Amino acid sequence: MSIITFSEVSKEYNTKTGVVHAVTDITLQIKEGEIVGLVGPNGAGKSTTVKMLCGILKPSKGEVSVLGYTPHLDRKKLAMNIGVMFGNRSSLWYNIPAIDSIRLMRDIYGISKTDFEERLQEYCAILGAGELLEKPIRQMSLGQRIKIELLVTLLHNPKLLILDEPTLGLDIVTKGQFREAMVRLSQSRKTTVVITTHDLSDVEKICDRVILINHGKKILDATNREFTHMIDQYEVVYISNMETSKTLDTLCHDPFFREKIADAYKFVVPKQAKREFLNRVLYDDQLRIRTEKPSLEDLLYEYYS
Amino acid sequence: MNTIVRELRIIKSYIRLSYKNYIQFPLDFLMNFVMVLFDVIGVVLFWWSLAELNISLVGWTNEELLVFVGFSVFSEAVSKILFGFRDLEYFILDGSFDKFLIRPINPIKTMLLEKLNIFAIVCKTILAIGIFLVVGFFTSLKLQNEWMAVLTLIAGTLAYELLYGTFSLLAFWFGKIYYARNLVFSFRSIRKYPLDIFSAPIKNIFTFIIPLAFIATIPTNIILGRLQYPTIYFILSVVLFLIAYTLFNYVLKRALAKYESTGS
Repeated sequence: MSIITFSEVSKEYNTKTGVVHAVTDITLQIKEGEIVGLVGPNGAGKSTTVKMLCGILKPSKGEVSVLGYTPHLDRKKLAMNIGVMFGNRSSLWYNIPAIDSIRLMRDIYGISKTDFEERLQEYCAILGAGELLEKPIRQMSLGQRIKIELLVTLLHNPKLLILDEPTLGLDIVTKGQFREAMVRLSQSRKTTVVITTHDLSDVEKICDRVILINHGKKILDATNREFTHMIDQYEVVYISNMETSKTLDTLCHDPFFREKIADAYKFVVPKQAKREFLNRVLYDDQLRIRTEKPSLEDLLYEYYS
Repeated sequence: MNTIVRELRIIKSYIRLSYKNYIQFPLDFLMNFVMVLFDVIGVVLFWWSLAELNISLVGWTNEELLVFVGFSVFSEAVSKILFGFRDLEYFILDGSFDKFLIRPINPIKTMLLEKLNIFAIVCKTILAIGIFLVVGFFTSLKLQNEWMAVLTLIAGTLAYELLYGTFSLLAFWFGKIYYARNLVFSFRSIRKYPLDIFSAPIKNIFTFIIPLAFIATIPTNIILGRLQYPTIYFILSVVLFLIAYTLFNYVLKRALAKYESTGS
């Protein structure tokens, strides 16, 4: 069953310099319980898409349906059933203990006292936020604040969770805890999650499906299985000692060249071209070569440009 | 019924948060109180000085002016309920208005509740009550139609603030409107003075076009029994409130469709 349906949706803005096409003809469907990663470079149209999903923005063209509602027309009804978290826009009261902001959400969503206590306990356990409740938000680290943001987003047990850059600025440990919580939630409650992120490791570790948007258009829509298949088609080759090699000039202009990392040069090579590529460099005995499996980032790199 | 209970619970929750927020910093809390007190003392001193200099306003005795000051202070308390309109443009300009749109309540109501200065409202209300106690115990004035006067003040003040709010909504189209709004509402300070000191045409403008007279002048005249048909003025204030409320909602609906939610 589809929770979200986008049918040829476009969003345009009129600016002083002309019309900006933020999103162009996006069509997609997201099923119940899926964790979908919405990725793309800055200004690609991810946030505009998310804002149309929750009814903040009205599409210029096309139709959006979320949980059977038209978001911009049924914004309040939809808001009762979805949880939205913007990583860089807080809905918490900074100077007072976190529990007060959480209680405010209880009253906004009309949650009974019994349900509130039960859910608070459950989500505090999942997020490891129990000890933060009496702490004022301003005294929290970014990671702690994000935990509380997520807690207030989850409190009304939304059927759909929309997270816009939730892991922005988090350290690797907190990111790990966050991802674990997302997976547990999706599994235990069948919550559908749409997550926009720049961090492709978020997507790699928790998403069932990835949608890549660039220049306002859907460039790629693939499941994890399809990505695993794609990953199998490529190999990452690191070559070092190139400074002393004659092949440096040639290889740096090679279409497979990706970037220089420390003393090594990185190439993302399709498996079918690997033999030919290695033949080009192997005659130089000064080079050291190391290969590994590509990451999602390695695969999506070309779509970002 | 459930909706009303829920709405009241939300308002109560915001009031509690506003109060808690204020008492987090005791010195700031104290200074805020001193500021409100100075504000009122300033107004009282102004009128007292005029009286001491034997400068009197046509048709107003010092005791009657005290009643006017009481209403003026109370209208400021009522105005503070809609104080959040002032910051609307900032929420729109940096896109943080989004956070009000993702909750299942009216975004403007949430914004106003979040900016609610419950401390100033309570302080000014207490001070206004204090002034009326002084009037009741230490003057020979006979007050009448008290509730009608108070309701006229509330309706008139809210009508005026809703017009201010409607103008603030223009930020959805024009972005920064701070100076334009200040210019248009620069006559705001006139509310501190009894408006029947002006000539009839100006008085009519401030009564029927910009409802400044309903903020303190007309309520004072009602309570002092100086109006022949006070009920008409009361009804007029309610009508003005309804017009301002309808206009505000009409513009708000169009404004929300115009919202572009900058940044991410």
